[in-house]
Amino acid sequence: MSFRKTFLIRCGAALLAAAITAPMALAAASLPSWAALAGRRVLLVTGAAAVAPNDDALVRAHLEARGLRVATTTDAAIAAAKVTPTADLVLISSTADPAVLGRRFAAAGVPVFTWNTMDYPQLGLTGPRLHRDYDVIEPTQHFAESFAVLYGYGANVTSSISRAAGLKAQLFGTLYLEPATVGWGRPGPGGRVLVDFDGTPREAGVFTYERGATLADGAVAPARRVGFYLSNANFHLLTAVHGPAARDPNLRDWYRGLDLFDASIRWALAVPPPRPHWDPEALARRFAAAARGKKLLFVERMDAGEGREADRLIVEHLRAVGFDVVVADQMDPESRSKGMDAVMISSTCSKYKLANKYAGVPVPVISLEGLMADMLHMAGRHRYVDYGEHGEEKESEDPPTRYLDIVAAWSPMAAGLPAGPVAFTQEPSVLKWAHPLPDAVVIATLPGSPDERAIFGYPAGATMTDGFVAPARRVLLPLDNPSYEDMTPQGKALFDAATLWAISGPRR
Amino acid sequence: MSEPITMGGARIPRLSARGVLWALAAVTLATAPGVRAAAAPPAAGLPLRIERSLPIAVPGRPTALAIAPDGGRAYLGVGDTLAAFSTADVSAAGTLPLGGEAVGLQIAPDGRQAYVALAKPARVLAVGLAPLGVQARWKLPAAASGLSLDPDEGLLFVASAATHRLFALDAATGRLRATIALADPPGQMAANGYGSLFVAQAAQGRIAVIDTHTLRLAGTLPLEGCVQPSGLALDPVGRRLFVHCASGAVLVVDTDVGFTFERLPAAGGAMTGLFVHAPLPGWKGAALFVGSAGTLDAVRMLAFIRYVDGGHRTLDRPVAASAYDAVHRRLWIASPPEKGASAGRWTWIGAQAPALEGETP
Repeated sequence: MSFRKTFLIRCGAALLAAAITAPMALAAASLPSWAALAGRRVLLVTGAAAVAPNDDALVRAHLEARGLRVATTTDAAIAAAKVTPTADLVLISSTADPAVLGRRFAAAGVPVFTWNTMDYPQLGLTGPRLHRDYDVIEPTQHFAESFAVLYGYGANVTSSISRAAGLKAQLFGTLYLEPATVGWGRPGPGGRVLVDFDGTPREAGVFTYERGATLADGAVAPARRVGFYLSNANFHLLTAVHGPAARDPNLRDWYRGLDLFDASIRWALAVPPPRPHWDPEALARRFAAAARGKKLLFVERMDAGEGREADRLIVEHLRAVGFDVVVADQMDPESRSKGMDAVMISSTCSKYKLANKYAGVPVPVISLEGLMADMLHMAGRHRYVDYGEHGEEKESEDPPTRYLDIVAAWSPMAAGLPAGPVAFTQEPSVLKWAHPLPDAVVIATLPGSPDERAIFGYPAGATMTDGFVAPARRVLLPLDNPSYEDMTPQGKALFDAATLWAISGPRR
Repeated sequence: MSEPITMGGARIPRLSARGVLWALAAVTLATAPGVRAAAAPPAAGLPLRIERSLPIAVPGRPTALAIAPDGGRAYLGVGDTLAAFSTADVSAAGTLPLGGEAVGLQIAPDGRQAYVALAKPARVLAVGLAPLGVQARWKLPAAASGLSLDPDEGLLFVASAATHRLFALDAATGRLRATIALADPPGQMAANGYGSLFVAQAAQGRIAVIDTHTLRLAGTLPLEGCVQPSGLALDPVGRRLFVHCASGAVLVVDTDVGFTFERLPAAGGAMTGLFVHAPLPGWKGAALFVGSAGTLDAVRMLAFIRYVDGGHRTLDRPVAASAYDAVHRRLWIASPPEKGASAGRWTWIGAQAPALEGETP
């Protein structure tokens, strides 16, 4: 290979990397610094009896050294108090007894950061079943596993915590090299898994809920929530690297435990995004402002049968909003997307004919067809397990439905709709779904099927399936062939909000 | 405040008034409810017993001590001389005028040569041990305060507390290879033999790491909660650095990544340290720390990832210098002369010292 060619390839790679990482750096900066958080009040809830050994005092000293004002109280004192003490952040140590605490902090309007795994269900962070919804791994009963959990996986690299902590989509050391006691939880679809064990997001070591997110128990998080894998006496074992080894980027990326803890605390104390409100007119204005002059490639099966009218209406709507829409047939080459600002794939397209196109285009892609989730690296490859059709005769046990369950009301993709069921179409219909990786933000699930995620989006730089890194935003929104004209105003708002989010990402 | 001591390395600085305050603060924190490990009381007495105690046959104030690798001779910097003793009967086997007081004494692994660092005059002496004689005198840019030998690199590291510098000398020729500036006075040093020299930085509460290939400062290791780190004990096989803190703790540091993963209780005050293998039946290893006031602390190694408080005891006399005889599994301690006496006193601590004629129980 010539020097010139090598140079150009390297420049291209560098530009692509910069394009992906630049917005990450901006987002990382969005977490407040310790200096900005100085003086914030933290309430550390510990066990009433001395649970020895424990690191509660070390946690306190660590946070105080970073400028926070930490008060310690006990589970018994909390239970006895008529009024829960106020603070900017509540920390619940695993030394506290969940039975004594009860559900005292479940509805707390302040952020809660907990490493009390057994308390996860009471806070609504996970379901109620031990071993399935949450578990504590400890050396006595799980000796081999207590070593396995020294290895965590960066499941999410785009959250502000992940970016601030430098988390990458790879293994890292959770705790120093001793058999460890750790907890994991399986958050609901409204949660975000940042770190998991054994390569499965069902065993999340670190996970969060944004304010307004739907918790695993169906309640709405009144403030931010963080679950962390620590236990009584291993805060001091959260990994860090110093000295000559800290110069090696690979070693820095391995010893991220304490960085993760710190970033999670800073995130919990940060001001959450403003609560969106249902305002279709304002949404339409924002959408029009963002769409104006943008080129959108609409990929459809031209002259499709049952979906032809729906496609026409969608294109008409997009043009009315302000997009410069170019319509392409499913058999057209991917090169049609060159010069475009976004690509929308209609559900009239045949997955078989589309043939892996548009998966890697460097512009946002909105797929209205859930069955293409694997092809577009949005979900795994196991049909009806990783993605599927809800309500489709012969392909689903589920009856058609007209509702979606909003689980991320806080997200602009939720169009300001409240958490819970929302009428998506006027008539029960087939709704496609997929199960994305943890780097996606899940907006809506299918009612009664929290694992069937109907609307979600991957930020640019997100880890998608097959190790694919999203070159730009990716959105799945289920719109079966004839559904567009049947959508409710809420459904159309979700369509607009999801499309708006997709085209609002940082430009290359 | 007790006298500074040496143990095969640097003199340990005294605690300043500010250091005492920090130490008190650290002790307060360490004993707060809920603080793990460090809050626990020290383990029962150190199972190493005082085996023998005898007057040192050569008069003067001991300043530096080393034991030959074969365990046959003990070498003591005493007054302005270097004295050799038989480890079998503690008889004096010869003396060598040094021209100054030794502040550091190291013996080469082959046991044929020793290196002695002097503060006044600022020199390093290469000393032949059989027979005892000065082979070379190498001038230093400033007064020495400690000495460490890295035989794998063929380097001598001389600490200069007054100038906050380390001097790296070629151990064969005495040529000054590099001068390394540090942020504050260098304390005890320990080289791992594969690229790193660790230097206690008491004032900054951290460890400086010197790359022994490039002879540059490669980084520093923070020691959270450790006030005035002084004593260092290095296990190069396990890659563990044990750091004694004047605030009353021993930290166990993974030297590969500079991570402190264990914190154990210890007596306060400045100490010097050394790591020994299998000092007692059932002990895989131990980090031993000796304080000038006669305090002795041990960290017991159970496994490469498990260390526990090995015990603590206080000797009935102060300590001027100490060294470990790995062959006979015995810690040699030289105490300064008592008031009115001309010579100091030996004390042996170990599990299996032989009986000696003329011993004092």
